[in-house]
Amino acid sequence: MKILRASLPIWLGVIAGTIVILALFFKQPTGIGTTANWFMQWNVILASFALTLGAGNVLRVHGNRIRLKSSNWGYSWVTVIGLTSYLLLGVIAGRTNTAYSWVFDNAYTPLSATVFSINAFYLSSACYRAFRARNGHAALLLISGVIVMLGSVGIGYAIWPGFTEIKTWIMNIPNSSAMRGMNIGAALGIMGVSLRVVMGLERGHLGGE
Amino acid sequence: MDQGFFGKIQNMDRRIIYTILFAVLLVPMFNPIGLPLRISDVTQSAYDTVEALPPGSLVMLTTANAPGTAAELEPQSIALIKHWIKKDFKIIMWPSAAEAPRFIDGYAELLDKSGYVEGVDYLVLPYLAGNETVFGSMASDLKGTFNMISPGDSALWDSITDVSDIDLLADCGGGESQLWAIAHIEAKHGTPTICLITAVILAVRQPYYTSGQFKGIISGLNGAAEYEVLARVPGQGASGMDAQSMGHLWVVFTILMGNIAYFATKGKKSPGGGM
Amino acid sequence: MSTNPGVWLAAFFTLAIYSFLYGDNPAYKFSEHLFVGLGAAHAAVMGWEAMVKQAWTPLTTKGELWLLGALIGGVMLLTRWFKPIAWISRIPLGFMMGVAAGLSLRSAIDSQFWRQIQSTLTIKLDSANNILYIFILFTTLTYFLFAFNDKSGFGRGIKGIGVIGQYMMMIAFGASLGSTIMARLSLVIARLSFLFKDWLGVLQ
Repeated sequence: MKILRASLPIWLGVIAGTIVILALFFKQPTGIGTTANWFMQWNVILASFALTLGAGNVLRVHGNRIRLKSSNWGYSWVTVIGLTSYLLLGVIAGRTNTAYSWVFDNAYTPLSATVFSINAFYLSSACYRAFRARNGHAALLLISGVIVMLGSVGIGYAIWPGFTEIKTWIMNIPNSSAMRGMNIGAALGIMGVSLRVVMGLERGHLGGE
Repeated sequence: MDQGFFGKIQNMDRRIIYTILFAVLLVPMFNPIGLPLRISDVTQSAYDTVEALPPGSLVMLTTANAPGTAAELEPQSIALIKHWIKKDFKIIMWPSAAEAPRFIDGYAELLDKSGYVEGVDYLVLPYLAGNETVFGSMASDLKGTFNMISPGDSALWDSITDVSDIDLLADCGGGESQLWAIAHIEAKHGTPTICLITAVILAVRQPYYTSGQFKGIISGLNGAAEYEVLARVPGQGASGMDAQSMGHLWVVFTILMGNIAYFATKGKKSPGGGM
Repeated sequence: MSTNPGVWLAAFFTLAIYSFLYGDNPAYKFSEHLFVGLGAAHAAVMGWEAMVKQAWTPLTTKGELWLLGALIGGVMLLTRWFKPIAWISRIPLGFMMGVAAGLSLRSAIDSQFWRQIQSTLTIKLDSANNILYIFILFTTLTYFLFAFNDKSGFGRGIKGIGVIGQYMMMIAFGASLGSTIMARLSLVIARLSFLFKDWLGVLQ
């Protein structure tokens, strides 16, 4: 049983990862290439199942809130009823059904768009109350940010055309080179973690036991 | 304790800031100013890449558009598709995120109204979960990845062997999908790739444009407005630019004002955090 | 003003969410909870449709038996909801992580690492901008890769180079800040356009 619980998931990861990496070296169709394609297509199907896990988790969390009558538990009914009814509608009638699309366009889309847009107000408040040029780093960040903001829009060009030129220079030279350095550093990190998973040394993604 | 003028300024109720931001964005929407629009080099490159393709080329749009990013990505995508229609390209569209199929429905309607025939001139591939895995799978075996499409279902699909038949890939999204597109499809097949992105990630994607992995970038609402001007396809991108300008000016003002108040009250006791 | 009930519903939700800026209230709480439910349901519906199209239909109509493994793995994933047998979900999860790690390794080595270095090596040091580009890249990489505590002259020199890299990164972060603000403002402009154009009809 311990082999099934602990070792099998690790070994499956090692085999799958190794075959996917090896397939990179075989340009013509081979057994390894074909197997790697199968594994990737299986992974896509497994990801479809994983999408449903989120819904289950939301139902579990809000179901517990209702059961335990936690704070604002009445609103959890809104989540549970909304989720269940929309899910049933989608599964039975399909995504392209008129009612499903109507709810998507007139409920989900405005809710999602507005929730994301509210960030702009918090950002504006943060710019006023929290962004302080306390030291050289902060001052440089703010100066760069202000120039990029003004250089990106028409009003900046109208005030002084130089803003646009400097903004383009900032994006192409300091930003691009510093971001390239960060991307290379991040790539080394990704390589390290991926190698650990493919070699079976990483167990964090499987949860503790 | 008497906070003084700058102290009061520094601790202004945030709701006043929100209200002023609303007003600053609304006024130019009612009274357009007509501020100039400068074409950025990244958008120009994206346009030039599309324009260089001959009529009848096969192009693909992979989109992770969602309600939270549609404000920027939708005008960009529509401007690009209108340009593709003008160039008489064959078009494949694939939603790479769960919310994207609904937006692709809109693009399909636009293509239908322009005289395109589904299955012959354009094709919508079904959504598949899996993020990077789908890009990897497409790069290795496009037909196998979309095994639900049988021979005979679509003349356009039957005319394609694999991803290398695609003359241009345009990836649209606010996340990592552009990186997957260049990592698997552009890297393996040399497919010219442009990206349509939210302005948030422009700074991070810039090195990939400088290295030539992206042939062009359409970024944010300005990118949409710039592309509409270049391709001469009117759209929604340009209409928000004046409000953008005034909003930016307000944010710059808040940064300056906040720092002036901070330095004016420095040395005196004042609450509030900072960087 | 619009007479479409869908537009009125969308307007209600928009205003309910924005009302949070001025204080928490029942309309906001209702809208927020509904958003969570609808979002989770939509993801599950898309997952279900993708599974049926890609696995179930080809398996049952075309006899593609090789897909059976994926379907069984998917069902094993769902055991995560049941505590006594939740360990079974680790098996397909291990497989998924292995495939994802293999793909990430391929993409990180080629696209994020080698191609970026290759592009850097082709930069000619014939202009101030190009020299500055290489200098900033060098200092940024030094900051990330050589972060060690060495009190010798060499160590202090490396640290000094890293400090310059930090300052260069601040310029990049400032550029990100500028771009982020633009993106967020676009979202508000879109919502305001909806409210005043599509709903109230007072904007052309």
